[in-house]
Amino acid sequence: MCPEGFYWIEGCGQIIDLLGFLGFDRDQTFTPNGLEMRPWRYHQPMNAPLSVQQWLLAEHTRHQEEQQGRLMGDETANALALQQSEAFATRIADRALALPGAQIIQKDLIHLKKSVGWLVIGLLMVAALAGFGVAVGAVKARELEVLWVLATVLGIPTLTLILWMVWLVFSSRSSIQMPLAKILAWLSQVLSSKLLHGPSARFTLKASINLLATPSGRWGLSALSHLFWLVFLLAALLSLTLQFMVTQYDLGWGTTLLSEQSALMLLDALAWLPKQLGWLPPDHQQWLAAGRLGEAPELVRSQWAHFLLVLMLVYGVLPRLMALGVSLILWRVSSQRMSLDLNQPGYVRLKGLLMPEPMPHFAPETRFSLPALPLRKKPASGRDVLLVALEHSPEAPKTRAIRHEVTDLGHINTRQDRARVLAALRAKREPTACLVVVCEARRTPDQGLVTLINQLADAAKASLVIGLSGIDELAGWGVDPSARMEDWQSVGEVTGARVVGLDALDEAVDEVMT
Amino acid sequence: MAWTHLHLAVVGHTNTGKTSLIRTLLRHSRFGEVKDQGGTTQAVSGAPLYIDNQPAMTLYDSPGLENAPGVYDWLNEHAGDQRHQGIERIRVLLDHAQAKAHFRQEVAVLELMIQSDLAIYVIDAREPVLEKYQDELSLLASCAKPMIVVLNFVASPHSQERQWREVLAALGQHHVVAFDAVVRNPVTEQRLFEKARSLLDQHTSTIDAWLKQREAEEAQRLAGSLSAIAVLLMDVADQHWTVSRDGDLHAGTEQLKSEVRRREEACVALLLDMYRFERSDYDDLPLPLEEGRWQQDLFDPETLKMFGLRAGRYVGTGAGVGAMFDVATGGLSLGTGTMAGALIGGGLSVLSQFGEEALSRLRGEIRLRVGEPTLRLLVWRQMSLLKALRVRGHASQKPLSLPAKAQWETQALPKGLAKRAWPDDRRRREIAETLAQAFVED
Repeated sequence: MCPEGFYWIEGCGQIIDLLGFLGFDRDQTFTPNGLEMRPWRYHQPMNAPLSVQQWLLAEHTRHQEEQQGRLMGDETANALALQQSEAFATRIADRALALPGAQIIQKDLIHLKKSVGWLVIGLLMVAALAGFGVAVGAVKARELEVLWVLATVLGIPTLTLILWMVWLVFSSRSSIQMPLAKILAWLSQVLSSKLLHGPSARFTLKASINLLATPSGRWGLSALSHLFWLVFLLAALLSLTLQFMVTQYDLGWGTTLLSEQSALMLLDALAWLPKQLGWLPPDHQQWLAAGRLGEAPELVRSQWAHFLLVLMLVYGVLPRLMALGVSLILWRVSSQRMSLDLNQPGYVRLKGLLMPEPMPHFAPETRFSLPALPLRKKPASGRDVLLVALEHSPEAPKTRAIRHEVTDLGHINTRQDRARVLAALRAKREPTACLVVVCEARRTPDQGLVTLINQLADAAKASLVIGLSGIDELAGWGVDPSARMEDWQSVGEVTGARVVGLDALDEAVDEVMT
Repeated sequence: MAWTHLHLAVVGHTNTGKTSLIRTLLRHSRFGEVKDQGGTTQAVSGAPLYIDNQPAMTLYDSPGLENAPGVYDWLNEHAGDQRHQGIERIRVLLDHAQAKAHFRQEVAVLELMIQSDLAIYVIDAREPVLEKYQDELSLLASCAKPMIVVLNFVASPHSQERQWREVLAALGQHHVVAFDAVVRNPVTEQRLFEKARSLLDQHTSTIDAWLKQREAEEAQRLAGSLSAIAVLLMDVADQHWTVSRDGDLHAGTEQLKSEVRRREEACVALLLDMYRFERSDYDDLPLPLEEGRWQQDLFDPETLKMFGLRAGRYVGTGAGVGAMFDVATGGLSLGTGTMAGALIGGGLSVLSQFGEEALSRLRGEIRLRVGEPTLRLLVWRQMSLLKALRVRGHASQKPLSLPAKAQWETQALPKGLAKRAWPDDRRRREIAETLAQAFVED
């Protein structure tokens, strides 16, 4: 797992994963002789980095579809997404972009972005004013305690910087859903009609608020807060500089409770960093020690003013500037690597549509690979009717009353049966008029059965009728009657037989005999 | 992770449900052309199964065995002498050009068998044990590959499962799994792969990884579905509609009702999508669904009655309901009784949140929201759908049992539902967890 607060690294991980996914599956080497196989395309990765725009569109669509059902006419969008990209996340984004209404949402988003821009400008103006105000308030007296001025100006910014660091650590655990999001959600409800015009503006706002809980949103908010305090501090700095230019102050240190030594040590410690940076006036030890309020010579005034401004720069402006830089960089990076939570039901539902499993290729063939035969004719001298049941359960009725006299040859279910009946047919002296083969309609006819029927009919040298038992019960077996009857009709075609149900058997035999 | 790649061949007589089995294993509703007609699958085709995006197994569908007795006789004639045993006999056939052309489909199946690691032989258990099936078994056994027998359609009243099991045992086939092509029960699949694991030592890690992944997917689907139901509940429970007391009350309630109906439809559609259900599959569900909608209207008083939820029971049982009456009657020109009755009977109640309500009253408005019995019905319907989706098919095709109804009637709604001040995420999780518990207990 990534360390807390550094979620953006996930994006980098995704790229590495992505590289691993790209590569053809070479395992599909088995190809049975003479049979066609289509090679599989390489498998698609699931997640992929998205831009903020794509992310917002995808999230908007998810919220909308969770509330209102999948949008009408999404087939086109699905097809487009399948063509345009490989990764599931990118397909979700592409689909969202291709859905009708996406343009209106985009317009809303641009509108929202502009509003946020104005809001930021307003905030920065507030920051500048506050900075000025605080600085002016801090130097009301003519005799200034440097440490106290420093605390007044830097106090709140430093506190918020510490709070920000704490928030950085904990925000990844519990998203900013907390009070801030509630307030934003309420605000957005109030503002949605005024701010946005699209029919689904509330989903745009919902997605935008959720954006704040993503790494990009977090770093964006961080950058904004740093910018705010930076402007605040710069304004304060500017205000102080101006005031020091045109007004005479006595700056220095003083203490009532502490020993002078400790106060000086504190000042010395504060001066250490500016000294390392080379920003302090020379001989700082001397004028620091000489800066005791009330005793300070006039000479050290400008050095002390310089000192105060440098301290504000080093302990106020500089940390904020660095934090702002880091936040901006991470914001930019994470904004290019937005990732969707693919466990959301709204996305899981799309998996079947946008990531269809590879479809095998089927070569359709005719039902039986045999030439069709003309109907078998009754021999002129043939007289009797023979009856045989194939793969027929003994309990089921084989025939209904047939007007003609029938010789029953019994059932053929095994090799021995087949040999016995074939031998009997071949040994028969008088020519046979008609062979009636009874089969169960529900059984799927196969090549073996067709071969056997042809063998029997050839041996009998007679006309052939296939009687099907149990046609009425097909539906009860969960069989599609029309498809099954089609199968049996094709058996008739390749065996030269009439295919009838048992109720029509009599008429069929009649027809053959006359 | 390097897995051994496993080649699985699904074989069987024509039209026994091979493609359906593969479709189930692939979670794919459009694999092949599943028609109840012989010889639908004519070419051998494979589909990869991925573990963590790596191809780990290939499932091969095969043409149906059509003429096993013919092949059997041919072998007896041409390879009958003692020198040829088992696979040697099969090779005689595969080396014989003429016979190969004659028994095209059977040869394709036998070649597939020889090159696979494991065969899954599918039997239509409704069929009597005919000699031709025994010929098939004997032919396939000659290929000397581990085999699992899948008895399909065991849920049918015509199933001859017992006879089949006896014959299979007599033939030395002891790895038998019952299956119903229409039932998409994750347990069946698990059993199938567990048998496979016991037969294929060298592939244990592959099969384990596969089962683990399936379990994770199933858990993801369930968690997602429960979360979707939780969001539905939150949306509906929080939704309210303000109608002017002087305005058209009927139009106001109708608008609220139609929004709630639409919201429920969206949830049904989502659940169906999650389990990759298509509209054509609705018939398989033991639920009164039509075109993605429940047949009974949510707000029809008869519907509540049918599901054992008595709206009237909640009237007058607490202070909240008393307040409901109060508001409903206050200042309304409608006949008091009719008004309250119509609202409550119709599954709506008057929002009686302190403060907000007083404000509304001052403004001359009433705020309506969906009543508790209707919320219960909403939960119960979605949970029934979810249950049916997880185990679908003939086996469960009977009306949902009464105890379940009674349970939902008495069970309190998830507590999180009332916690409107919570962050959405937390509230949703809380509700989904309560629902998950109910799901397990059910």
